[in-house]
Amino acid sequence: MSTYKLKLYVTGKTPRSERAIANLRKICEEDLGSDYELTVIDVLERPNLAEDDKILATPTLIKVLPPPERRIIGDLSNRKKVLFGLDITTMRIIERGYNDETGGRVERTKGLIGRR
Amino acid sequence: MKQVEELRELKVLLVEDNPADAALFEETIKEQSLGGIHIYMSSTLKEALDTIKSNQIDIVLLDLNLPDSRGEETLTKLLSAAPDVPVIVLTSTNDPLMGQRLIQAGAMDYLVKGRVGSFITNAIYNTAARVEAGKKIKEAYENLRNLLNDSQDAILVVNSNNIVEFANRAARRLFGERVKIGEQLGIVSNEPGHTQELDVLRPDGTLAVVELYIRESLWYGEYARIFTFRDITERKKAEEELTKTKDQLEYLFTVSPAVVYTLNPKNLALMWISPNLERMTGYTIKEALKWGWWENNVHPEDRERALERRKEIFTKSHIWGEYRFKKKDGEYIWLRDELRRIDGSQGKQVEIVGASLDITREHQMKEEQQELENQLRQVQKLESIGRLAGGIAHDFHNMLNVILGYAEICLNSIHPQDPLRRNVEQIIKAARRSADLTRQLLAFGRKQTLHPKVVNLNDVIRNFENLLRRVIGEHIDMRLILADNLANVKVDPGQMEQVIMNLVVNARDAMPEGGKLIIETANVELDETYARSHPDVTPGKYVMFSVTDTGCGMDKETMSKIFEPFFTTKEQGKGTGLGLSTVYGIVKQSGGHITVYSEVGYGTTFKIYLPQVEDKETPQPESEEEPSIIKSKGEHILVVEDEDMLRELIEEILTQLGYEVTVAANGGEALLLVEEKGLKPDLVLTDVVMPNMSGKDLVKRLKKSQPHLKVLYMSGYSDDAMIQQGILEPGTAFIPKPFTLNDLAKKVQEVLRGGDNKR
Ligand SMILES: Nc1ncnc2c1ncn2[C@@H]1O[C@H](COP(=O)(O)OP(=O)(O)OP(=O)(O)O)[C@@H](O)[C@H]1O
Ligand SMILES: [Mg+2]
Repeated sequence: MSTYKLKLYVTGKTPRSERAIANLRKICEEDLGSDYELTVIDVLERPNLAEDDKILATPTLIKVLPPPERRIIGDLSNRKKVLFGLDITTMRIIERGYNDETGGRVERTKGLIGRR
Repeated sequence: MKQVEELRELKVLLVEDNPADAALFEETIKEQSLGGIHIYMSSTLKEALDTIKSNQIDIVLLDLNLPDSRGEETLTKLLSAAPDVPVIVLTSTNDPLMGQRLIQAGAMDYLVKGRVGSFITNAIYNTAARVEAGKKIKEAYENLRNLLNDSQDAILVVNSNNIVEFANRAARRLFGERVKIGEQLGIVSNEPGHTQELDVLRPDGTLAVVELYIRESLWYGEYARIFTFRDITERKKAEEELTKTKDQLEYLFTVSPAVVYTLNPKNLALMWISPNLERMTGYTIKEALKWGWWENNVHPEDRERALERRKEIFTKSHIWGEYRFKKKDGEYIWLRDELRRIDGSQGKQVEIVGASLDITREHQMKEEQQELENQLRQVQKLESIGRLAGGIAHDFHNMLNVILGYAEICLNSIHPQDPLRRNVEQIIKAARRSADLTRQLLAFGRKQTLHPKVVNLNDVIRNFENLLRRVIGEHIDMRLILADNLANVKVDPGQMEQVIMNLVVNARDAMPEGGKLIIETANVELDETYARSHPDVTPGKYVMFSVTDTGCGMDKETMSKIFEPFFTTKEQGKGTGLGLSTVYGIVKQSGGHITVYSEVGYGTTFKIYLPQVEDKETPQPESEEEPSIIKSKGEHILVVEDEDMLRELIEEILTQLGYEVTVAANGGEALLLVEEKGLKPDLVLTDVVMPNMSGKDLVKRLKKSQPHLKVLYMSGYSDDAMIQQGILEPGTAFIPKPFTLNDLAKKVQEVLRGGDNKR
């Protein structure tokens, strides 16, 4: 079983849907390796699922596993925000040198780890 | 107003079962409030609730121990029956913990009995003020909710537990049942303030695009997040429509044959240009927008005109122009440029919009057409000059014949030692020279008699080579480049020699300081395309021979005139200007075609194309046995000639040669002599073209009675011309005018000796 189980809700083939799918695929491949399971759900095709998950607006990304559940909305174009928003290990990001433009990397990292 | 409000009489209910306490409290309050507080009294809870219900009580002063209720329960009971009324509790124990509990249970304040003293009125006023403030806050939130409800944006207020506290009307419209007050919200975002574009499926199934803004705030004093969704569906649609239109336009601009642009209306600088520019000119838009790009690439010869033309847009609303433009690869194309000035009205700016079309192809076609017309005109001009010259030369020649003939007769009858002889010889010489000139004119007018044979031009040139070398002299290096298997042509070899000679002499004259002269032959094919651009050419196989020199060359002006008779640039006495006219006439008469290429200072090439003949026709040997002049045996010759002088001359000559001669001035006269008078001539010598009856018709009539009659035609026109026009049958005996005494003697003998009429 994969560590990460993700669900992405989109609405049809709007530009936002397509951007979100592309952005998420990229992030998954680059940051999660093969350790994830992603389901893309179109609310037009599966309205019941959307209702169960109380989806108000799309794109909505839900991290189902590992708990706790996290949600993030939008086209997921900001990879850093997506990873932070989903509580995905910040250590991995630091290893890859994926940090902010400023030198405040240590502070931030601490803060984030502390928040988890 | 505010003052009046503050001075409103407060209705205070004192719930106290101890009459002494009650009296004390009442007294104190009355005294301290100066009658501003009206006091109601109740001694039981039940009574108190009744009073609250029937009188609008502002504040309750509550003793916890009453006959019908005791302890803290009394407060909860009262508040559950009348939740809105503010309560100040009166207790007998000073227990801060209990005080806290009371406040938590909903009391506004509490006072310890026995210590109340002057505090009681203060506490009443304080509570009244707090109640008033609380009411104001509630009102404010009420107003806020109303405002939020009126907003077009969907607004949700969510507390720190992600529970929806408030949803405005627009939000209920946008999300329907999916959002419920008091339930969890399905959106969690850690990023307040961030604006996102999202898709929302409306309850009615339609799609909306929204922009989300999240703000952290307080809601009734608690932390809350406010989600604002702005519906941007229409804007997005318009945006998408716009990009689609833009894409479409861009596509159109890239495939369109015209390059479109706009110019600055003040200085005509290029402001915008469509991307298909690159396909047309090779330049990128960036390069084109550089200052002076257009001006620098317009052909220098067209630049001034094009620039002036452009400036006309200041005064006209529409102009166009054509000019050459240099592409990035250096090649020039023809552009047709149109400019339109769009005048600013209703505050709009003046705009200048232009379009350029590549019309190189059309221009080439036009130029080709023009070139063709020029050539045609040239050919026609030469044709008409030729006809004129030929006509004059023809008459002229007849006259010369007469002069020559009589002069020769004269010479024959003068004693060899007679000093007059020399004079007559001078006359004959001058006449011969004149005859030569007129012959050239006749050649140009294509009225010359040709004796075509199937020959190989290489042979003609080789036989002639030595003579040519002598003519050009030592200082010129002459080379022959003769094709190996050159096809045969049917031409008059003598005339061809004349053609070559004229060209070579011209080449020599063009190279007084020496140079190279190349004579070349080749088999070539002139195709449809070539024929289309040269109106006098029928497509087919030709033998080409060219004469090239490295001489002075000619300019266009000279070149356009060289074939005209008497056109010469040589000083008087050096050239008559008939050389190339003769060449032209002979080539044309032989069914050929001639071209000139010349470059001033570099040299000239004349190319002559003659139609090839079938392989089976082998060249005929040049030698033709000269018939020796045999004196006449006194044969009888009937001479038919309408021109008196010539007729008399011929009569004279033939008589001298020993023939018996009868003359007739026309066909009718001749017929009369033969058919009526029974004349039986051995030979009829007749002109071909005569008024009333042609020579041919005459012969036809005569042959009816005398089938074996021998016939010799004479004419100023060439036999070829006659045969072509069906006037004479091929092989008919013919002598071209002018002729010398010898010519005539030979020809007459030939016909008389020949068994039949064939040459
Ligand atoms: N090979 C050549 N190079 C330069 N110019 C030439 C050449 N051939 C002909 N021309 C020009 O064409 C003109 C006409 O030539 P054309 O042979 O008809 O007359 P001509 O040579 O002047 O006189 P003619 O041949 O009658 O003695 C010449 O005067 C000369 O200007
Ligand atoms: Mg000449």
